[in-house]
Amino acid sequence: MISVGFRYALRERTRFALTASGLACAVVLTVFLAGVYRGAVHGSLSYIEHADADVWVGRSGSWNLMRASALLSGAAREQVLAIEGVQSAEPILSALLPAEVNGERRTLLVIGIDESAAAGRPRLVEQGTGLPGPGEIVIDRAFARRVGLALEEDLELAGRRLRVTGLSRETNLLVTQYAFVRRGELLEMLGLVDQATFLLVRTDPEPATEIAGRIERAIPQVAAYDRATFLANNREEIEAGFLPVLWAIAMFGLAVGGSVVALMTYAAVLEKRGDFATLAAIGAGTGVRFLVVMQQALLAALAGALAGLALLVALQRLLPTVVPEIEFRLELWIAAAALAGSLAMAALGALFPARLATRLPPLEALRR
Amino acid sequence: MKMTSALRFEAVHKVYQGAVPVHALSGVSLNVESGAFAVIEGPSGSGKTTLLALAGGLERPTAGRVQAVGVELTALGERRLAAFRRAEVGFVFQDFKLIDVLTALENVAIALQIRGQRRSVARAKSLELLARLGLAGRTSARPATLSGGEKQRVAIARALVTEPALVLADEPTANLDWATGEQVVELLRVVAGERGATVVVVSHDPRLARYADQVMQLVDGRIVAAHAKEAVA
Repeated sequence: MISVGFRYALRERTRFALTASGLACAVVLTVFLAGVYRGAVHGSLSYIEHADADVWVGRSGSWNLMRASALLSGAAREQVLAIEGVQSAEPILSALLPAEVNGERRTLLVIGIDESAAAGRPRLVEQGTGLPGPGEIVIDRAFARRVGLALEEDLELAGRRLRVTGLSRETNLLVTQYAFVRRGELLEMLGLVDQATFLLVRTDPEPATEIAGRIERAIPQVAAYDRATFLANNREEIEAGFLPVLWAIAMFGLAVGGSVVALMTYAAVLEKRGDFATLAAIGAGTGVRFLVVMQQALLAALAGALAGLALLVALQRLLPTVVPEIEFRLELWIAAAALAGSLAMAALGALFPARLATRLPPLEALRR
Repeated sequence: MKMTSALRFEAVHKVYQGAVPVHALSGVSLNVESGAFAVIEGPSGSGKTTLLALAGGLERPTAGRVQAVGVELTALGERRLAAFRRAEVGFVFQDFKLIDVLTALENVAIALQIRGQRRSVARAKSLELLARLGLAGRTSARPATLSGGEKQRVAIARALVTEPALVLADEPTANLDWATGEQVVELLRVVAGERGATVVVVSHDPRLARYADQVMQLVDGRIVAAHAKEAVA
């Protein structure tokens, strides 16, 4: 391997550092957004995944938890329980409600659960209990940190004062957070009687898909989803809001990174055009000259991506303290994709300068 | 004994088109014997560099034929010309054209590496040649720390390490003082001779003629005189 390109890159340290910094910024921007997206997806789906429900039953049209507003009547639970294969059906009520703490207003996705509920509770509890009593609320830990709430302190939810008795984890949706109260209390706040948004059904021993179909056939105006389908529905809801923006920003990030590399390598080729002509004159084929330019671009991309990832690791540790409601997940595959993407955009950005280097006539070596 | 030709020009013309066409070479015919050390003298603007570019396949003539080491260059396409240069030609430039980020050894070895030779082999051959040129102690030096004479010797090593049949040197002493230039040319002549290479030097300096087997004078794009060694003073 001829390392002329690497040497050129490291020789011009300031230019190299500036290029790597530009690439690092592009990587931080793109990966940070991807990590926040993954965090939001995780926070949203983790609760559903661990809610101990094989089938989610709601009113027709209620296909995900965040956007469900239609309600099931109290009688629906008895109808579902009567269906063969249904072991239990726990009602939950969900609503987006304003919370006020220390003069700060926030919106929470409040889940009302029954006292006896085995399903629907937050599974991962960092402090206190996962099952709120009357006048109590379990809140997400990121929300608690953001508004400065601790256990046994109060918050106001839709005008009602509630005491914090538990802090849950993986219940952070980024734009809002889950909170858990008694269903009866939530019904009162909403002026309802015995309604539920979803019934969380446990089945045995038949497959959940079959039972879900049976429920839909037996009860009119009811939709039933097995856990995997309901998870997919919720993921789709988040993706619809997030992904287009994420892709657009990722593309801008790539374009900026590619342009920075293009600029660096173009300047390097112009500056070293005599060397490229000499290489051609002494027998270097187009492949060698192409490689020399690519080496510079790829080294800068590698350094930039690694610097960016190092910054993101630091950010991941810092964020819970500084901006607790942002759950940033730096997953290995995202880091690997960022590295591969950086190298690819660098290669793309260096294409034109590399072609220029291969087309410089060897005759230039004889010019003085 | 019949000598074979290493470089032959037959009625070669080179015209650079522009607002005013420039006739760099006008009907040049010459013949350099295989293994010879030939010097083509001429003042600035006489067409020396153009002649060298045509001999090395870096340019094509407007008219006429150029044959180098038995290959008809005028018949070759760009790719085959590049392959010809890679296989048969070594260049020595006036301003050395060393790559400043590489050491003296690497500047020589790169000529072999771009021809696909393994790094260890390339370094071994380069070390040997640099030692032969008196640079054994300077192999790790970067061009910026070498003297003019040392730079030109590194450049000569780079041109010779690939064992080309034809070495083309463009004003190799122009950036050196006369004593250093003499040493460099003498080394080029001797080491190229050991390797059986034909050397064509273009220079404006008539003093180089004393080293030459063949001397030609180029004025205004025409060969005005040509002498074999016996006739050289």
